[in-house]
Amino acid sequence: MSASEFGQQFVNALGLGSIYALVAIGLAMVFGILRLINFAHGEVLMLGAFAAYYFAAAGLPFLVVVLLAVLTTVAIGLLMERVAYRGIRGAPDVALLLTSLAVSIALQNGALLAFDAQPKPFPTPAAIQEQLTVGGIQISVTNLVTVGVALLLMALLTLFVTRTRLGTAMRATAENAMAAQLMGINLSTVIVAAFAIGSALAAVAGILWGARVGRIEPLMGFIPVLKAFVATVIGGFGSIPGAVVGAYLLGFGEIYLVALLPGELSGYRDAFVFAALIVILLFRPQGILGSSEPEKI
Amino acid sequence: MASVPSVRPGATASRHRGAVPALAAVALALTLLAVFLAYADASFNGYRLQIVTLVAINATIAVALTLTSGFTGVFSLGQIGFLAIGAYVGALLNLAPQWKSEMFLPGLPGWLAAFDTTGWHPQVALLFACLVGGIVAATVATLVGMPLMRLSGHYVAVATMGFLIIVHSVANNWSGVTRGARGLSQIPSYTNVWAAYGCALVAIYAAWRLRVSPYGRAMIASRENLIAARAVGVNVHRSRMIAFVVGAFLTGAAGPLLAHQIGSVAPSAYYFTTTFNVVIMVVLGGMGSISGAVLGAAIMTLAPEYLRGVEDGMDLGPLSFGALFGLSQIILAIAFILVMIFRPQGFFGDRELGLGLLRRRGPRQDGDEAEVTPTLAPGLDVGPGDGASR
Amino acid sequence: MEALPTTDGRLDGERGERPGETALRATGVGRSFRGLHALTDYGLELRRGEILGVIGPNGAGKTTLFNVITGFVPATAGRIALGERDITGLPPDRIASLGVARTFQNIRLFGRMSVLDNVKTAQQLNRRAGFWETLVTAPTFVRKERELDSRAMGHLESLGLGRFQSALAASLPYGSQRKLEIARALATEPRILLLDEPAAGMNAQETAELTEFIREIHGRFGLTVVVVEHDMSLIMRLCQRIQVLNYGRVIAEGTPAEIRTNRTVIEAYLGTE
Repeated sequence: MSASEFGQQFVNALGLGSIYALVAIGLAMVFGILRLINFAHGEVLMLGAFAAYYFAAAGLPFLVVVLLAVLTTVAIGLLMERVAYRGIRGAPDVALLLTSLAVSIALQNGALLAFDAQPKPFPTPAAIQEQLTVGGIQISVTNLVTVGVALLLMALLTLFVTRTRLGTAMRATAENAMAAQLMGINLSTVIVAAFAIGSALAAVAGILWGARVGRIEPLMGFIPVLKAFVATVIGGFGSIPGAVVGAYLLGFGEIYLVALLPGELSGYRDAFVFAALIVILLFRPQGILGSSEPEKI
Repeated sequence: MASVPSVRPGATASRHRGAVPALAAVALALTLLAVFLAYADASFNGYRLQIVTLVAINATIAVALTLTSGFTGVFSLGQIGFLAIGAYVGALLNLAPQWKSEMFLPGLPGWLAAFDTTGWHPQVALLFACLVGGIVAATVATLVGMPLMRLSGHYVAVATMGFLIIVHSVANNWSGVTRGARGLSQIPSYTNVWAAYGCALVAIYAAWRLRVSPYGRAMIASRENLIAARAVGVNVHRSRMIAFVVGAFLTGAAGPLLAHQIGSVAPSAYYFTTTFNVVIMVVLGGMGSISGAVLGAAIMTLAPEYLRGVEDGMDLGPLSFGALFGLSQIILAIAFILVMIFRPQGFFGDRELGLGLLRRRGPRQDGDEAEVTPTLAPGLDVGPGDGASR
Repeated sequence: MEALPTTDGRLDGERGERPGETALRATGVGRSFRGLHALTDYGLELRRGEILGVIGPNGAGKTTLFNVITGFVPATAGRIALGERDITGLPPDRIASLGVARTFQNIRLFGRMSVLDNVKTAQQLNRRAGFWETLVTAPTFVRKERELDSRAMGHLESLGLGRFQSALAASLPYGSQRKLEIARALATEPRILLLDEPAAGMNAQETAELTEFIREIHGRFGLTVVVVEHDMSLIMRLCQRIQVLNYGRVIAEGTPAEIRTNRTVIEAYLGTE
């Protein structure tokens, strides 16, 4: 791999990792509070991208499109929580997991019916589609924007969870839901906030994914959510900073793996990612950053 | 020693008293099934007969998942990976050698490329494929299960899902053997109702015998309370391995039945949609209930046929097959969510159809039944590596 | 009487063990959780056939001691031997199969299994059918299951739980659940029985009955018993020897009479609680 190729892939990996991070944050937030692995999060991302597609088709300016798409997915996320997840709060882990799979399948098939399986070209603004050449390295503006947006949103999120009452309540609930409730924190408010924030970030991720890939389709949420999920496992279930670190590690691992693997093996990319996931679950189930909790007998 | 109460004489005898009527009931049920199958075989059209056959194949898979996950509480999302392994093995064994060469499978070892069962009796070839498919799946399960069965709760669900993704990825990319996404076709249609129902009965029998044996008790005990199970000497890892490997064998054996029924094997048929359908069958019937799994499989195989009527009623112009398929998936997914919310124990919970009915004739014990609402796989939340077998 | 539960002559069995010999020896056993010492330099010579009481304030390390002996929590220091055999680091199910049974402070039953199956699951530790026997329902399988049935029923009857045999364990009243846990522990046919706060949640009369019951099974099965308990009446009436733990260390050891008057013990109880 030449130096310029390496640099190009570096920016590429940063971009991919940023998208994974935005998705992973939502997963980790909901998991931390509900112990729910929300597979339907990928469909939220997909619906965000489709919302942007249709708002853009209506001729609205791009920033307004993004804003409306975010509002749409927040509404979808809250509806999902209310309809599917509130009724099974506190159920065993696996029941939660299977329910989210069901929500995911219902939304996927609903989207197939509504939007058709045929991929649609994503209306990325021309300004973002350009390529810059810096010191012999080709850099796509999309990647730069992706990284910038992700960092900005993560900074805002950090401010939110450390500086606001609601943010503090969310952290307290993730730490110990029972104690937090005893302290007078309203669990439902916290859960609603987690779904709202997660969905908003997923919408942005969906738009960035659309810009990156250039087209959108109803099943597009599946792979990003699986990858984001691996990222949260790498970082330790439920830890937001861990999820972000895991997302970037995964982004880099994936990009360089594909770059280094001989062509006929690059199809096995997902197999390698999930083999790595299994290895982590076996040897460090608490994640790379997490710490294990001794079990009470 | 005089104060030691001895065993109440009738205590154990009464537990075996139900054996004769139970045996008669089973014989009657089997006879009725045989009559129905003979009737179906003779007079149903190909499509309806295929549905009847699929009920049995799905029942086999659902019973296997009940054994693997319902008894032990270790939820596997990798079951369909074993089905895929069995299906590919069966297809590669029984495809005519000239088809193997025409489809261009350079990755096949010479002996397998030349392996020719076309001269065999179809049912012998099918049985052979089922056995080999089951054995290969069980071997893979042994290797995969050794590490994975140490995990618990959603960790094991996620890790087995990883296994499914890996199998899918291999099936998609190992073109020299699997022909990639296009899959293998021209598989002779050997499967008939007798083979399919025979396989289902074997699966039901095996699961039932294990359930009422020390093995089943050990599995359920480790599901109910992992720590207490270990404290009374249950080797949790071993009993999970037995459940996982036997479940994989039965699922792997069902693979060739499916391949020889459909006529082709492609990676997309062995992925999340199928996994989810089987999970619904098991959860609907009640995790841990064999008869529940069979009922769930029957409902989940027949329901889409009826839902197709609903889909036809949609006035959206000429719908593609994909769109048709989608609506029934949506309905099933919503039904599943409703079950999770309102009846997480499914139809039967942990119990079996029939046994409970027979028992109810006898005098009821104090404090019997109904006070405990069994829910899906409790006691799973033990932690990441619960050290099931350090 | 052929189905009477016994210890299968293990008492004087293959190892030629006799009352008075060491049943369990712990030397220098320690356990720390993230730098926190739950148990430090613990030593014990448990004599075969004795009833040992372990007392101490909350958090003194009593349950940790049981967890370390039964292998649920590996010791971070020291050795534990069962008779001549070193069991340090063995997994819990191995230790159970070597003859150490326990109950739990917070009852741990197999809730959705029948009362009888709860006991059979423990009983099968020593006599169960093999895999193929099971699959083909061989006559040997049927015979072994019947034997399990009758032995398990024997244990249930001896605790007065016979009439609950087909009820789900989780549906039993609290007191019966405690008894079932003891029946289940006995069904593993142990040589050493560890009881973790068996009288928790019982009133004075129930505690007195339990005390008698423990004394009875101790005699009948030739058991060696270790009891962790807060209820002093049970400890004082039952135990021949008492160890007092505080902050993970043995601060006193002796007969009930000695412990009652021990200054360190009194301080530990009055000073910390």
